[in-house]
Amino acid sequence: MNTENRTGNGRIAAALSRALSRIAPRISPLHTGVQPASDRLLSPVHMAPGRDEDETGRQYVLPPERPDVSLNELYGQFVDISSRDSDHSTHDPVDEGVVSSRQSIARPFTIATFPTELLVNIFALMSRNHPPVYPDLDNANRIRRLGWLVVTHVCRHWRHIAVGTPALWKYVDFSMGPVWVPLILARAHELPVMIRKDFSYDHWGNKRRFPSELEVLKAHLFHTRRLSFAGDPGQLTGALQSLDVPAPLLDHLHLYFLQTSLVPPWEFSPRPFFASQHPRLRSLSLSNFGFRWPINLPISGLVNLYIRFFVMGRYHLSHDLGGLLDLVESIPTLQFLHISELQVSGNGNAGLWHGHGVVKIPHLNRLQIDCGKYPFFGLINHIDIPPGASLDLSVKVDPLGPTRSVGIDTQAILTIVSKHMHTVTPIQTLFFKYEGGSGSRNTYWVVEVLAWGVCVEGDDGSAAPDETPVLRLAGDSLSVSPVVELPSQVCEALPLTFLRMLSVTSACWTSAQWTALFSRCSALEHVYAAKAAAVAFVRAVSPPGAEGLVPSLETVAITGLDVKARDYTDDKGTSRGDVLVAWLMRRKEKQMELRRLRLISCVVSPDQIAAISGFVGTIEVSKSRDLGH
Amino acid sequence: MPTIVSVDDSTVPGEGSSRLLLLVSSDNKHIVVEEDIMSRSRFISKQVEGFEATSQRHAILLPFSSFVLNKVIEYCSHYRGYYLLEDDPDAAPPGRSPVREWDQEFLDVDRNMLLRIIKAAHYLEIKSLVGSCARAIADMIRGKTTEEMREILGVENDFTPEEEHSPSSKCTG
Repeated sequence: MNTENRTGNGRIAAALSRALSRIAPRISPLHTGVQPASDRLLSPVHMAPGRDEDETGRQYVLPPERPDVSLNELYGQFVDISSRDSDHSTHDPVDEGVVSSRQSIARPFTIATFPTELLVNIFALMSRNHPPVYPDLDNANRIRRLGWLVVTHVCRHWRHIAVGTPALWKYVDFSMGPVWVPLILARAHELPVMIRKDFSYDHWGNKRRFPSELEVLKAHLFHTRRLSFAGDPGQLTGALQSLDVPAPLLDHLHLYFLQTSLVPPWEFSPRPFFASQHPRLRSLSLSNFGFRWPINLPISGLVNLYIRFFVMGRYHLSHDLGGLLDLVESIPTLQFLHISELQVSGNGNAGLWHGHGVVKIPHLNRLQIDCGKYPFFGLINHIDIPPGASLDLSVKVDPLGPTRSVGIDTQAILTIVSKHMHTVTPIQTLFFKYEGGSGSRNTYWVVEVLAWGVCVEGDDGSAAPDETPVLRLAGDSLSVSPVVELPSQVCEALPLTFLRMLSVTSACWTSAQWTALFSRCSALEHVYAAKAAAVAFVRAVSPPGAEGLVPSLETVAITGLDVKARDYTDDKGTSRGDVLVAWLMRRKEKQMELRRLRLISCVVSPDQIAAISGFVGTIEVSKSRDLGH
Repeated sequence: MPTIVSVDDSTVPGEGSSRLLLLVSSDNKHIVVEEDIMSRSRFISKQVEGFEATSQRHAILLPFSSFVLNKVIEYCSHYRGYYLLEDDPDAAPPGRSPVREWDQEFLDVDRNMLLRIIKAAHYLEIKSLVGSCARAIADMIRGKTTEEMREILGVENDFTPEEEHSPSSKCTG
């Protein structure tokens, strides 16, 4: 073997090879990412925290998959550098690099020695998650009110990095007062900033030695990317009118109406501002607003429109749906439309709205509607949803409507969903979620169906993909029957041929529903079931023949199941653990062995774990306990 | 920068499809790891790409201990084959990723270890691990006073008394 290294020092290399061959047998942690099931079961996965650097790392075993790997043979192929430190006579640059790097490790290790970008990364997370709150107020909580800005007072190095990184100063909240706001804007230099201002409170107070807030705003509008204003319509109108300078970078404007006076919420006239130069304005959010139609906002290039209508308690302003439809129709570039809390005048459930035709939004990518039943159907019946658009539909209990249930119109929703979901990416991940609770008037139930076009099995077996679902369907009800019926109906309506991940956390899911779904989803690979749904899952897999229902199933994650309990719907009263063992055994016999079973927060005995582990590739048990009954 | 020593034989015993890498820690421990596992490290990937032309085997010297290196390898092993948003340079900006439960347990270590892991992850260019560690450190010092931050992270207060007690320092940073 030619052991001439790139420094040309063959003598050293030969000596090092000899040295390495001596030590190789005792230093051979081989990482393959695969652990035998027994190892995972019996030993903690993590190393004990807080051990010193000098302690030996975790010992790894050679996996059975690669029995022919001889570490001595492998090490023989590498040139050892382990004893280079002892031979400094060559003054080889490579050696010096080794020695230098090792000396650097020996130095005291503190965060002060961190690379700048790591500290900036940490500060950026803090600035986003721990913003300052009224830091000029002089009280006992002053330091806590500084939020992340405290890092500028820890040491010179931190202050130097924080102050010298303009990107950390892009969030500007005028509630921080006349000292901090100009300072932050100065530190941001001319990077795009995101500004928030609540006009309902004068944070400048009587500090007249400072420029007025609007003067500061106008001076920095040229590098403002996002503007959020809150106040009553009169204040907002006045503020927007005074900002008569171009905002060439502005791409998001959020206006929030605060009920601080008796000014009617429809007295909002934003035209002067919109007539200014905002060539990049793409997103407009109007929260808590009411309108006097028609409003013709010159916002034809808008991509994202969110309108949350005024609602105070049970009081809604009724709107003419035709006005809203006209507005939507006037924005042909719209891609994301979100309408919330709309209350319409008249009966929105009946046919077309006062003769208004169906509105076409050719580029619509996502439609989100959450309001009561009548406006919901009024809108959905008047918008032509383009193929492939994702839907987020939430039908709420209508406080003013005669029917407090989604049940009556379930079929109408399902017809829309059934027709539309054949035009989107094939559904690969499907979640059913249920929640129940007590409201001010009655007990309510919420059912939520989420579907994604990608398959993701999360850390805990249930985590959702980090992207927008192609379908989110939610409804709340004061009676339980729609909640029980809806999942089955949705399953029938949706195309599930390509479903690979199914997650059910439902108190109402039955074993028959599991069986029916399995028969439709032959490509299913991952199942997550929680609590009552897990009980139903065990019942569904108990009969002989059930093992063949989902041949491609690879992983099952179960949460909150008492595996030791006996299920008395079965005449024999077999424990759930026995049922699982029998099911897994039958799958293994038919060459359909489950790759992984995860039991999370379950009641399970060591004997049951041992029995199950014989018929499954890997069993992982976490946060579980053995109650001993 | 690490020191890389090369030999000419590219044949690796074993029947797996992934090649093996030899990583050498600062405490002189030799760790053999499959290349697939370490592909999450952009640093290692770039090293391996650079070596492919020479058809030689390589040992990579790393300036952190085997204990830290083992933790990093444990992380990479866990996410072997997973797509993580933060590792994609074209994806969402750092810090916008979801908090993963496994990461929280994995990083439930003492301060020194956490600092060593983030430094190693930064060196190896594993963005997802850097992000998780940064989040853990940010959580650790969130809501703390300056004195508490200094104590937690072992930072020395090098402000002069005048700077420290000056109102302008407190207010204007």
